[in-house]
Amino acid sequence: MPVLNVENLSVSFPCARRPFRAVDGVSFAIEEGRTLAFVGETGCGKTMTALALLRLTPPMAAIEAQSVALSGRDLTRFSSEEMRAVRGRGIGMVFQDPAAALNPVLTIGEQVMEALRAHERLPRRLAWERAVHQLGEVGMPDPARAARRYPHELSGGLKQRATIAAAIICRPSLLIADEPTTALDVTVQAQIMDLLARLLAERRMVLLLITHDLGLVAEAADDVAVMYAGRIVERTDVQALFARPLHPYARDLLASVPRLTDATHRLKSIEGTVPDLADLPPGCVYAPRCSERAEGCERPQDLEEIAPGRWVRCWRARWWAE
Amino acid sequence: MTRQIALRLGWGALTLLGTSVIVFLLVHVVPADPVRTYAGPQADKETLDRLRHELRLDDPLWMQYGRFVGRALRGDLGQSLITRQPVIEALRTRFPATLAVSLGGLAIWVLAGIPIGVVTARYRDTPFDRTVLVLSMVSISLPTFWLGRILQFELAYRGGHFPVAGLVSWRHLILPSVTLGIVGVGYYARLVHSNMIEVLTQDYIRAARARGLPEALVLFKHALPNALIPVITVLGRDAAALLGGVVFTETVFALPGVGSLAVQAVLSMDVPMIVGTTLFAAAMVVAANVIVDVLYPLIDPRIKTGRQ
Amino acid sequence: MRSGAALSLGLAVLALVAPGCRRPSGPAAAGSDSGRGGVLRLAVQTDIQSLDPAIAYDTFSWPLVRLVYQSLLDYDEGTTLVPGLAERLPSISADGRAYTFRLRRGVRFSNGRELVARDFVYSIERVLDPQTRSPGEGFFRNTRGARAFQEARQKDGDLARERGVTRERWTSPTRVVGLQEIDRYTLRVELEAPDLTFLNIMAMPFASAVPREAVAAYGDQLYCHPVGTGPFTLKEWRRGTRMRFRRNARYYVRGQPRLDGVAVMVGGDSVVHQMMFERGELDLEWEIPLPDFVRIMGDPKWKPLVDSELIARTAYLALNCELKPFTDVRVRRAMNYAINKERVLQIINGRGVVARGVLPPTMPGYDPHLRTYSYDPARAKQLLAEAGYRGGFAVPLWVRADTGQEVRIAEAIQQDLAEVGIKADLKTVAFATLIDAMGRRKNVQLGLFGWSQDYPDPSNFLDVLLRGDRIVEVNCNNAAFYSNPQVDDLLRRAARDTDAKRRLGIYQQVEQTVVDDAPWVFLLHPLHFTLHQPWLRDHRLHPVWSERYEGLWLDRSDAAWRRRP
Repeated sequence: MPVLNVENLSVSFPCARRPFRAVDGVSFAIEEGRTLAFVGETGCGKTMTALALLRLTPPMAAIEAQSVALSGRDLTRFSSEEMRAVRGRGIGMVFQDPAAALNPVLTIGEQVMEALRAHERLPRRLAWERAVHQLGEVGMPDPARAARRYPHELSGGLKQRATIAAAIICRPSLLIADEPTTALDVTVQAQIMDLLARLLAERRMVLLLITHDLGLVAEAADDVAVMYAGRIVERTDVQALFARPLHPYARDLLASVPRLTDATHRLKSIEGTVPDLADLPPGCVYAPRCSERAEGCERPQDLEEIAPGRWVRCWRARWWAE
Repeated sequence: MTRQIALRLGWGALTLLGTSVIVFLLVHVVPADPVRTYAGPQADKETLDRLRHELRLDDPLWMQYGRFVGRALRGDLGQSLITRQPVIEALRTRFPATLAVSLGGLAIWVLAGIPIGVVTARYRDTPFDRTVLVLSMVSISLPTFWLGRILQFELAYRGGHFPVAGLVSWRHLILPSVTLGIVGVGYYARLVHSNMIEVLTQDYIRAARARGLPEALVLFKHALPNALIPVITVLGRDAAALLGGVVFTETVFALPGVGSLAVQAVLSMDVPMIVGTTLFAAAMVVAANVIVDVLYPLIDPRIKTGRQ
Repeated sequence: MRSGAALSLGLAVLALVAPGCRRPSGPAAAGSDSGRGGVLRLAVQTDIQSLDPAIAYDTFSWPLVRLVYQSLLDYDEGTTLVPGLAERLPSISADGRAYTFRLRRGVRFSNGRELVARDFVYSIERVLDPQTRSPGEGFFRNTRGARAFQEARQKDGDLARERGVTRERWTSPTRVVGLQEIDRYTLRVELEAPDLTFLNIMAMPFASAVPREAVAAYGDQLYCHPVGTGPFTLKEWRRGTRMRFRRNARYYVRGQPRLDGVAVMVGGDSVVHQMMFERGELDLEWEIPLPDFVRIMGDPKWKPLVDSELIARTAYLALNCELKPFTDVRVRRAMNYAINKERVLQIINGRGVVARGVLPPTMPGYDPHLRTYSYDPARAKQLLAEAGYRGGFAVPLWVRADTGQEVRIAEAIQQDLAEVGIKADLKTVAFATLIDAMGRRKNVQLGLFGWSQDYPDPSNFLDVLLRGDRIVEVNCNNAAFYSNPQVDDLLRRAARDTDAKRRLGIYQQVEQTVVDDAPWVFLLHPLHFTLHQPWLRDHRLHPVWSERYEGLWLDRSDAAWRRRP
């Protein structure tokens, strides 16, 4: 049984002046021991998907899903109180900017241990010890002292270690990391990714990695889902994607990554802009920008498994796959 | 930390000095003759001249001021021209009434205003929030004097639920405190409301929710302390204004506080008392600023309290 | 006295229990407790200045001072002098210059010591002493040797200051020759010149008995640590907050006072006091505030509890006879004809009577048939034209700002004057400023003013306010700066006259002359209205002291009493 199995998840904003869907019919699963990466440009809906899992979307958002199963339990049936029990305990989340994600007036230790106190009702002293221990586990130097510090007293990397500690202290089965390294220095990025890898290896935890950094995907993920305009356009394992991307968007995306080896190569960009979600074209949403555009693209496209484990939302992909 | 406080106190002393100069000058520019007040309306010219000389009010202004400062530094603010009571003594005995009423009002602002601000921020744009907004605007617009009179008239005089005026028991403090409270609670509710809304958009709030914390904890442990930081300054400033004398409230309810003392002093041209009450009010402002400066680092750890 | 009185901002509410010169009148409820005890609750708007009888000099203070201190003489329920601490009225020498008083025996100060004649010698000397700065010292200057004494004491003070030492008596004389202790209980006072007002002066609180040892003990704190022979002592005075008086256990009249004490709340305006009174938080309302007056008078619950009395006060417009246009008597008379005094009275709900002249109706020597001015705007215009002001003129009208009532009166006057072409612009100032400005020579042309009696004698109005030979440059009481040598002459004569009847005749003659000369517009004499609770018994107003209680008591068996908060 997959740790996480999402079927047909949508997040819409029906009451906006021009209603739209930020996430449209997204389905995916994460198996034990695997890491799934969500890749896409800013605004494609990847963060909203993650928030929808936790039901932390903005108040005017409407979430619909056929099922969202965490270790077999369907979260869509959960009351808000039951959902709260899932947050921080069944699912942990790490955010992009650790400086913003930590409350400046509370100590590190306080924030690390509060999930523990909220979910397991541990007394303060015990929870504090566990928090210190957790900080040590995530590589925080001198964790006892660090726990008494305030966020502004730590560097970016250490702050992120702290947020990771806070997210995993209750031993969730799923960790969501939304752009966990984007706000950090390059050297620190590597450290954090190493930390995550180590944690995954040591625990029974899967990772949902949200990023726009393809390099990160290549290094850290097992499976990848490419999102565009709120829907998944290609979903497969990482090697397959990098070896031979099938969906035109995925192809264009990979092509646009600058390569160090190709000094003379002109930087390839994707023509056109991301579409207005309130005013999507019927049929394939990528068609306006697609170089492979043809007749038949005006029809709505479904996500189809054209090869075992390879899902693509393009009718022409089947043709290339052969 | 101590350096900061010392600096603050230094500025405070300068503020007081400046205030004293201005008040001193203003009071001596006004036409009514303090010597006449001291001697009574029946005194004849000889008596008045003699008195003037004895009180050394015929010395040049700068000399009088210098004497005044010298004595003030020793804690002697002179004597009331009317009652001959030492000004310091009068301030000391009248301050408790002002303090009691101020605390009552402040308590309402804090105990009612803050939770209302928090709740309306959490449930913004609901009918509840909109109703509270209107009520807050009403509360801010109410003149203290008017509200006090209305409450006094309806609840004390007509209704008989409270004493009308004076300060004999703690019951006499209820209506004045409520008056002060109502007039300010709307402001604090809105202040906390808008600060809370801003704070609630912060990432760390989302992160706290993502950890599965109960909403109440998110609001009061995570959001509120951040939202309150700017409120502390405002509260400090308002507290200072109150403690300098709540003139309208004290007048309406005949409370023997510093505010009514100031009014009486002005009406009877009691120069030393006027100077004394004004300086007292200024001192309250200075004190409030110092206290806020001391409190700030305790509340917001980001503020460096000394060398890192 | 000029300040205070019924129209002013702060009015004292006070309870006074009469000194025991009268046996308690009125039936005490037979054998029951209800006739004794209880604390009378009153309110004043601002603190009084002092309880030192040598200093206190306004309508607020006197009634409270009289709770604690007493003089040799007092008044009955009217304006007749009766013995106070004296056994009987003094014997007077044939030339009218010497008065001999015999003291009651067994009277004790609140500190336990018996009252003796020497105490009065000391007390009056104290009032005369320049160091005391008593506003009443002028009243006693007519005592033989007083001036020399004052000069000597002044020198002592100057020397002491120069040498930087506490005063001693270096300069002689050190006594007032005219104040004589004949024996332990007999006092003799000799005057420089006869003065029929002397007995009135001896009834004033300035002439109260003050024990020397109290002055020695308290020094300049005596004003809040009074020691007297009166029916009450001061238990507590928290300035700006309250005063509490307690029954004097050593009071020389058995069974008096009937009250246990008096509590005076300080602070709050008249509107608040009225509310407190109606809720039973006060026992007596000194002056019914203007906004409530009509309602109270129309309320069957309260109307029967209203007492009213003419205050011995005259409100007037002072016309500065030394400044144009009021140098011309025709203009002054025109002012009197131009103003509709009945209408002005309506402004204050008819609480008063129109003034015919200078003296209030309660004053001995008041002439109800005084020839005076009617409301005749046509006549006014005619007179103005004769004087050369056919087109009228403009003049500022000074008025005190702190009581709404005075301003409203001034506005009514302003309207009347406008009808005859006189443009009076209101100039509202603080009371102290008004006094100061109007006391300066050649300063204010037209001001709304008033005077309340110090004691019931015409000289207290005519001599103080209208003598040309007493005009000074500043702090002049003659606010109209009126000077008529004939009037001055008559007044000088009357002051020395020992024939009471003839004297009053002279004063009446003077008053008529003054009315004809019209240095004032004679406006009105206010009526004073008090309101008391139903359980407050035997309440009466007094023409000299205003409030004074002969046999005042709180009937605690009254049903209303038990309902009070």
